[in-house]
Amino acid sequence: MPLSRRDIPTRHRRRQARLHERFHRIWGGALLWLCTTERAFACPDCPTTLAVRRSVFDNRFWIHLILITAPLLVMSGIAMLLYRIDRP
Amino acid sequence: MNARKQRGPLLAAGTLLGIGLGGFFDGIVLHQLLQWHHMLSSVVPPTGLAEIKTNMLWDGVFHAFTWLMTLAGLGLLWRAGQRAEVPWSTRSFVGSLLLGSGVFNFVEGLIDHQLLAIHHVHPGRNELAWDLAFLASGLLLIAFGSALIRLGRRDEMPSAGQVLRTHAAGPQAAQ
Repeated sequence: MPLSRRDIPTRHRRRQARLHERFHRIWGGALLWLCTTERAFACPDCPTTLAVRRSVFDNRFWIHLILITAPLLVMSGIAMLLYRIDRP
Repeated sequence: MNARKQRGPLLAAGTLLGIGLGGFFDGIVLHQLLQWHHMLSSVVPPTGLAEIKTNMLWDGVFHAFTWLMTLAGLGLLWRAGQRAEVPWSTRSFVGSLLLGSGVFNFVEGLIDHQLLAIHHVHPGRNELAWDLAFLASGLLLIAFGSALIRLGRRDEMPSAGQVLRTHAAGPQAAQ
């Protein structure tokens, strides 16, 4: 089958291929770096975390919860009032 | 099809979404990125690791409720889209989003910063000025939102529900 002009890679396609190659190289490098460097250390069950979790559920828990949710409850009320607009 | 136009469901949905998005903006930008304050930073000052972790936890509770409000807004929007009498107005919707964000800034500023004083926008020097600026931003958003909602009063674009019902009723109903 004879080659047409479409089969010949244009300058644009070559540039795109080069860009893709560069993109893959950067991603590959980033992945390699992530795998080889020291990772961030999260501590879900450290003594501090456990103490904090315990302290949150002390006798002030409900007060703190009310303090945080009070404005949101007021805002929900305002939104519900708007629901009634144009109602017969 | 001459059902009375009702903008309420769309406005309520947009306002709830605006409140939710306003809360996320506050949480992401002021609590996490800038770390100016946390939800309970005046009650439990974040001076040590344990205190910071406590504040993080209560920030999480705040985000959870904000997420619930966004979800509720999404649910109301879905229902509004199915109702034929609700005009699908972009101006009303965007206006209600702005209104919701403004309501968040104003109500949260008034209750949390001024009345309960559980945190301030930027504690330290000029604390009151920052708090007042936050309240002012809320009022500004409310004013812009209300103006847009008023502009969208005459918008008649049908909602998806109305289009579907007209389509299902056949070509005569569309005329």
